[in-house]
Amino acid sequence: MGIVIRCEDAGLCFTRGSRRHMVAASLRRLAGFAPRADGTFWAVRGIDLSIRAGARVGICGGNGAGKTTLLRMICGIYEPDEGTVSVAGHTSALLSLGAGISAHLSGRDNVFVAGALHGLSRGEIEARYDEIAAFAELDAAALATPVRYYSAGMRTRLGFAIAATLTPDLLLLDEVLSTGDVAFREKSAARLHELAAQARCVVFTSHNLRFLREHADQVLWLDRGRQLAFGPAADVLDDYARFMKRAA
Amino acid sequence: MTAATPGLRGWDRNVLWQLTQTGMRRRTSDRVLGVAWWLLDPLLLVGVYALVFGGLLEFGRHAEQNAYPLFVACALIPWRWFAMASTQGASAFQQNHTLLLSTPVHRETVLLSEWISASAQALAGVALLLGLMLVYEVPITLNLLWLPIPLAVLAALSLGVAYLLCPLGVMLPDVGNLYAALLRLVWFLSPGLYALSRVPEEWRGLYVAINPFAGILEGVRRPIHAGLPPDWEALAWSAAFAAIVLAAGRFVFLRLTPAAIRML
Repeated sequence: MGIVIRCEDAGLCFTRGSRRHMVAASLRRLAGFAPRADGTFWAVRGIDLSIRAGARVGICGGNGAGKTTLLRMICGIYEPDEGTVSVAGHTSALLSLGAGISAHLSGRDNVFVAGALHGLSRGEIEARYDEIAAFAELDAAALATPVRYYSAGMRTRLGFAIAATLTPDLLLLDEVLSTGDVAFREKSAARLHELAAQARCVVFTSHNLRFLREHADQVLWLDRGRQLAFGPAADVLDDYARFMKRAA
Repeated sequence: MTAATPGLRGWDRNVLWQLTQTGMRRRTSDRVLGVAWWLLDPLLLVGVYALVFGGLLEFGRHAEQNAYPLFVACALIPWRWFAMASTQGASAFQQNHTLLLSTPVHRETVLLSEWISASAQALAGVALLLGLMLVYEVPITLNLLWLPIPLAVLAALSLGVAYLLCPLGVMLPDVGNLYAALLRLVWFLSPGLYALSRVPEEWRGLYVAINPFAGILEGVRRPIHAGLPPDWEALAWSAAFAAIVLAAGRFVFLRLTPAAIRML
């Protein structure tokens, strides 16, 4: 089976500090000068990965470890500042907690916008619409309501239903499934296994070690932007749990 | 399947159409009167200008400014289009930040969708112009066929400004405040409330040279209000200016966007 994601020594550098400092640094970079070392930091650096089709990869690490930044790089939202990131096939939107596509649009309209962003025509989206609505457990009245009136759980269900039903080659989830109610979590986790069984690839971040242990087959451990380990889920999670216990 | 830099999705008409609809719904779906506001907004605006400048200040007493509500609407409606489309396009990244931070959407499409949805809304005001032409019984001449030319120049200029300000506005939100003030200044320095011929003759050349809107707004008004073709010399200068702004704006947009996205 082919490689879906390959990162080679990938890194991304942010500027931090006041707004003025950020703007000055961006302009300096545009003018071709190297960023000054003070006031910049590597959100992720030295990431070396190959992820095969059919893999369920969990990413663990504390707050600020670079999990979201790495997912955004894989999704194509951020370009790496050093190294390379390459992805084969069709990537889903990066799902994060509570983020709808357009909060003022109805759930139904969100499905159509998301479908278009996935490269589907109107007809293709209509054909899958009922399946998405059923998976999200939203009735017609809920789907006609603007998403901004949804509860966080409803948004998550809709977002996940859209992304998982549109069968991307690569599904990216940022801390979406480890929270939320148990029934939907079980159903969604089952969907992850299904997608992986179809030789698609799922990458998700989580702080929930049990969720990672149950649903990931490989785990990437990030710490302050560095890749501390990448390998079979059980091994990496054991090390991570030991590390956490020592830190606590 | 071939591996590729994840990068951004390419140009996609379906995405543009869906996002354009999204933009339009954002500004109408929660209004009780819905789409009727597309006509009511310009009607009320023209009404206020007609009342204050036509009624109270008697701008309509000059022969070249007769039928003052139509006279002012000829400039106000295209100006309002310019202001809405450029402002809306300029704030495209802020309006769509969740989308931009969760999908590899083609960024130019996001800007264009905002620009088009604002344009569709603002251009509904053209129906109001037609209505005012009937009310004031102005002669309909073949010179009306020239109208697409000044309007195309105006479109290029507003799109160029939107390109230029879109990433800049993310990096420096102060740009939005400055632009709003600048818009107001330029409107009063343009032949909107008054005819270009009211500008003293010794200043007129300079006036047209430093303000590209002189050629455009007069170019829209002359065919409608006076039954004359646009002033081609002034319009040519406006067109050259718009072409430069559009090219420079797009260049800046493509250069600054990756940095702007990181600051969203």
